[in-house]
Amino acid sequence: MKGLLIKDFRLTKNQLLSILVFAVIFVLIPSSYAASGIGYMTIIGAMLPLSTISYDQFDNGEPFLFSLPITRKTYVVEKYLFGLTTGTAMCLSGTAIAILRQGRFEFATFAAAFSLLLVLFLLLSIMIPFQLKFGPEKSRYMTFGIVGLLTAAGFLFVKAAQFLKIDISGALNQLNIHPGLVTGASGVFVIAVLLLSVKISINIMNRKDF
Amino acid sequence: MLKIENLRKDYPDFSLNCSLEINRGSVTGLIGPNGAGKSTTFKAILGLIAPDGGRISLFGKDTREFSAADRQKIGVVLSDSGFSGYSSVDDAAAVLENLYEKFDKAFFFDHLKKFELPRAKKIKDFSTGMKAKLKVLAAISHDAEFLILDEPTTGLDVIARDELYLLLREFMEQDPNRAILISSHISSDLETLCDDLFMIHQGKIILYEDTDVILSDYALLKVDPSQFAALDKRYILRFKKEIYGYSCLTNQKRYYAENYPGITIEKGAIDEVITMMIKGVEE
Repeated sequence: MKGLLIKDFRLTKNQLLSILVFAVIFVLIPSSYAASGIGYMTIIGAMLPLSTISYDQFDNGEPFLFSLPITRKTYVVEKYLFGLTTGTAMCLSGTAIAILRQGRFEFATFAAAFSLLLVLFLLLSIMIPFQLKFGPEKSRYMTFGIVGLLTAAGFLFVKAAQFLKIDISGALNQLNIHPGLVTGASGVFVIAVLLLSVKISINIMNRKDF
Repeated sequence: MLKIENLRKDYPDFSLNCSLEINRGSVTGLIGPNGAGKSTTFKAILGLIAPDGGRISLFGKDTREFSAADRQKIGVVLSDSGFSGYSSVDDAAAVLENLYEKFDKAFFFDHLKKFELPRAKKIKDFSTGMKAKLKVLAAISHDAEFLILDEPTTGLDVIARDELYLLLREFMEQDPNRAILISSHISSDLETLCDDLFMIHQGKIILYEDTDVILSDYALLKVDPSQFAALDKRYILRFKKEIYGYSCLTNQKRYYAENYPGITIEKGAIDEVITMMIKGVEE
């Protein structure tokens, strides 16, 4: 596991420059865009494991990689661990920069960062199995397709509610659910999806011929 | 050390069905033309492909049950796969150091210097020969018991090949319990290194012999049609029609030298044996 993590951190050091450029841009943009800045940083961090999978698959590198003293399960778990680490680190960096830019701590900034992190872990849960199964090109289109479908479904749901004159936010407010409960439930949901995704990815790798 | 029993792997246009055994202390060659099944056999041993039948045991253990700890004892060179091209040698060394418990960093960097391999340059910018040297070096730097080398000398010049032969010989001399399975298209690799050879063709083992026996007892008889008609064919393994008559592969050179003094007998060389076993007709 340690060897694989070192491999991935060393491979991604090539992208360090582009990450720094993003950080500088983020520092320079107005503070009202704090949430989107954190979003950009988190996206970069969470997408790093996907680029390491591409590096592993580049030039038929996988047969040699899986001849090393690792198991396929370890490889999969490491990718998730790496993604969670880089995603969280980038999100925290983004949040820190946002707070420095604003000159004060705002709970909304922290809440936005947490929400973005959860969304990105969900994206990671979808993209890693696709990338392992289909490679970088096809998986990208498939993830865009799924995200597009989910967005369209959400849009249709909102439009249908408007058409039927159902006040969703009003209904949610009436339920009077504690924000902490929503946060906790979201966290549990994301962890469940992540664990399911890890299991699917291990199955994909175990069935792969190199 | 390695025992392959009726290994079967079916593809739409190719089927592998082979058995072979490798003992400790030996360097064994797996030879055959392109597409014969050498790489498929190697991949099956390494668990990179799932066999459709048969059993492979290495160090006395079924390879399907291999753990990361078992893989510590194997050194691997694959012809078409290696370290990520986006890594440098320093990156690769850091990974090896953290994956292999017995990685010998001093040995690795010492030989890196001898081979004049740059440590910071991206591996994708290496020449074929430089990549080959790095792959072999990585395979022998962690005290492996068993080396699987698929075309390890491809792209190397004669001098670099000699250096690698020396390294592999030293590797074997350090511990008599080690073993090497090697495939190569270069006959000098096999003649210089291998104790015995398995020849594979169309997914099946068609010959197994000690290298010394091939070099001493195998021969190519070159005969005209009348000599061919009169020839005792009991010890003819394969024959092939030629412009001058026939060429015949035998594993009893002395018998024909003593009983047919008039025929041309050429010393058996591995390349000729491969060609005759594949293109010749079985008597």
